[in-house]
Amino acid sequence: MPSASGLSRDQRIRCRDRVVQAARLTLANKEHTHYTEGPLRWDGIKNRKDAEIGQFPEYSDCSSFATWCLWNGLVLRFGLGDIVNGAGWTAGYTGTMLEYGLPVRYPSNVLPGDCVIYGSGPPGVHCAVIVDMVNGTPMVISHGSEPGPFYLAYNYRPDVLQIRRYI
Amino acid sequence: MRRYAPNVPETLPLAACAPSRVRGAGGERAGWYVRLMTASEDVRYADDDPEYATDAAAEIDVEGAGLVAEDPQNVPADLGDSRTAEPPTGTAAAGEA
Repeated sequence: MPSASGLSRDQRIRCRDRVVQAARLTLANKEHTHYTEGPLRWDGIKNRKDAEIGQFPEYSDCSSFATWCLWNGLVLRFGLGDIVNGAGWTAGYTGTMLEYGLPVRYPSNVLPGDCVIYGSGPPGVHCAVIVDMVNGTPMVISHGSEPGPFYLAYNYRPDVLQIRRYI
Repeated sequence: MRRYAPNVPETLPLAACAPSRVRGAGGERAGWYVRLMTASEDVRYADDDPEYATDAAAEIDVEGAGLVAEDPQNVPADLGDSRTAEPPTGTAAAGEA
């Protein structure tokens, strides 16, 4: 059975590295990246910001940030279509992110590059990217406000709706 | 009414998601989350798929070294996202191969 992305194991590992690299780069440059829900939130993808050469979005919100991180791995590394929002990498939010990828049943089984979607029910209200595990706790980088993004435990807020995998 | 995620129950067990039960759940199999997910039948779960069985190998260099987790109490409330998938704005295929 193919993975969510159709990538091979080695490809998935490299893809996850790129996604985490993108999220960590933005975190390291938080003073230069800003939160917006307006059209500028697609700055990262529209202007083809490549984390591998140190580029990151100046503007984004939670879902466009998560999508940009995944885009760095799925598109810039492997040239895949939009398997995160199904919108040609031009649009999306937590509601469309819930329509794509695969859910993860156990929090202990998460992998870097998975996304946590928060909210009391579909379509969700917030999302964050898992970047590592610390003492068994999945850790996320979340860009939900100014001055984000922030590095937090995945359950920093109580309304975890789903964890989804796109890689 | 459109359902965005057919595998997610329309009504969630909110009581089961109370902060006191979630905090400290860590990476263990948080009971409330597992009950929520297993309540969804006919769903293919990523972590049930043997395709991913070896993905968690240590080859993934994602150690959290250098990152210090924020105290959620010190983080501004999330504003959420746009809550809508805006239509394409002429940037179609911006990232398509």
